[in-house]
Amino acid sequence: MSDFQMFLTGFITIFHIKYVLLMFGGVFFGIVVGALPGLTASMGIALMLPFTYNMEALSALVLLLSIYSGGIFGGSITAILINTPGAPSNVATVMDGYPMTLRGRSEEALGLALYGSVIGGLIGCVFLVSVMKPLANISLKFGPSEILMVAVFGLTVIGSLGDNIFKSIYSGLFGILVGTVGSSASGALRGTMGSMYLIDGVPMIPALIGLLALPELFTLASREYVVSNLSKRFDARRILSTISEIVKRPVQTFLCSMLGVIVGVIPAAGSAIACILSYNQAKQWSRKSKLFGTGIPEGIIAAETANNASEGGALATMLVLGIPGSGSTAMLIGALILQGWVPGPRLFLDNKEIVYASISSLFVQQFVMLFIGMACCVFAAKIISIPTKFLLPTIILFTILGAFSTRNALFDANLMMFLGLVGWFMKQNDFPTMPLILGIILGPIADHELLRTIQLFSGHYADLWYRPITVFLLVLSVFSVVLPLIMKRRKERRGVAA
Amino acid sequence: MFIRMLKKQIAPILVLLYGTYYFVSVGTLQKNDRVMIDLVYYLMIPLFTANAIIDYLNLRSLSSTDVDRKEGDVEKVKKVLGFFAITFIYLFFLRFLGFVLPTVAFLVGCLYCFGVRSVVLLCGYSVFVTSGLYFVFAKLFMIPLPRGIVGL
Repeated sequence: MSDFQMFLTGFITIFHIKYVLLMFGGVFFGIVVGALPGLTASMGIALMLPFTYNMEALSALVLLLSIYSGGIFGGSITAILINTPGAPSNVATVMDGYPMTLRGRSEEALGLALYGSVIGGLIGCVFLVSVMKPLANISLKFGPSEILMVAVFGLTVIGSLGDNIFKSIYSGLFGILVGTVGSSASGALRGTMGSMYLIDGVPMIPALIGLLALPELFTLASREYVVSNLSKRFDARRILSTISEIVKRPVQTFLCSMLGVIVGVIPAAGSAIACILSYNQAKQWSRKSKLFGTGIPEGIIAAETANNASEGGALATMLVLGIPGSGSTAMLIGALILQGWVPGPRLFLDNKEIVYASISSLFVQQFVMLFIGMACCVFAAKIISIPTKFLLPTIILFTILGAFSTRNALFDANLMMFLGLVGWFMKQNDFPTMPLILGIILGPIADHELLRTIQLFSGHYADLWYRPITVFLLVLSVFSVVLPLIMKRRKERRGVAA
Repeated sequence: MFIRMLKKQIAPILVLLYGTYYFVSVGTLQKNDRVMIDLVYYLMIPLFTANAIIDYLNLRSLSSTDVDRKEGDVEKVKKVLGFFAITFIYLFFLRFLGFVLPTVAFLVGCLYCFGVRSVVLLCGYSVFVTSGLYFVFAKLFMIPLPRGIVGL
């Protein structure tokens, strides 16, 4: 039987009431967990992992994959409504999602995130089936220098994330410094100030909530409601109608999803990098690049299609090679080990039928997410109609508990508050916090891989030119910086000439 | 002008000071372990200078009323800093008194600061939200919350 036939046969297996219920339950749980600031899809999987012990392998995979799918989308709800990304993978959604909410267009933003996630997930799934093996084999070619270049490629965006390029880059460099705190790739401790909680580096969730959400939440304190023009009633039909915005942009949707799949395939890259890179590229190549960050559909589509599509890519690496590409896939492998499966290349060959059935379920989950996501959006959108005097303290409690629950350490909650103060202070001084966050996310990856590259090529750096992916990504990074500048110049010249 | 300029530079100066501390503290490590930190720090210095020059030029071109308008936000700043202080105090007591009591007190305090005066609303909302959070995190997600000496 061919791969595609096995994928189709998987649907027959998956449309059993037991699996359908697991999908509905899993997606709902994933969305709720993802939407709670600080709780991620990985944590959702970890929470449900013990319950899968007595399940058969396919049921366990269906449940956990549903949580995974729902969790990535769930994070976008709070990112859009209250500027608080539920997880690092929704960090780019904030940039255009929240401005849309402030302009009274939260329904559209939620709709775009939902449809973007579903379409990204479907494209990721199709590619998972069709090019799973070759893609996974490509991922084996990604060594330290290639991953370093992926991080550099991601960092090329920091200059364009604020009004002032110098302030943006300065902020991004500060982020890289903060990101390198902790143990280096060779085990040397740096900048921990004697705290054992910083040995693993600055924890991502508290940093994300502290720098992005808290400054905005404190700004809201002076307002009665999140949105000033609340007279308009929430209209669920506007969520439905946003599908047209995605249909209007088939090329962007497809390319961003593809980028998500490719980044997802790379081990250790993950959905956060996928959404950042996709947002960056969409911004660089768009005719409306100046409008990115002001609340335009393109920004949300870029971020949400890529992060969900990366799921397919990460699963390809996990299923074919047995290599976990992200925290969530590591949890999934943990679940498979509980089932008695052995991680590694044999995992796919020995359990082909179950693997294909689970991919079929991943496909169906996207449609399940469409229904459950819609209901959750309608419910969640009511958040912004709550007066800030009640909303603010409650959200702050959620963020504190979210930061605390990452490692069950009050240190993380204190760190989140401290970083909140830093973020607010930077905002007051017109320093954008988004480059700082990108630095914190990509800095440690670049740092680790740079050290490994140095160790690997020590004294023989010319050998790097024989690594085509490294060279390609290097050229791409240079183009990513230079091309928009040239295009901007051309536009200005044309403007002057006109 | 000098004071305005200094105020504008507080954030970048603090960042540079942190960078310098970090750069010096890793000075004893092997070169490979600090290559990224060195690179970033060396890039930060010219950027800091460029920033300062741009800020100086911008300040010169700004009229004094524009600057005064920004300086009129002192009350807002006090409010935000007060909120941060309350939250840090809450986090301090969380360690010793557990989750429930400090959370109820924190919520009552916050709502009071926001102008809610009805005792029923203050207590009712605080108890409702605290019990809801306790149920979701401790019971549903089985995330152990700080217990303190009270045990809750």
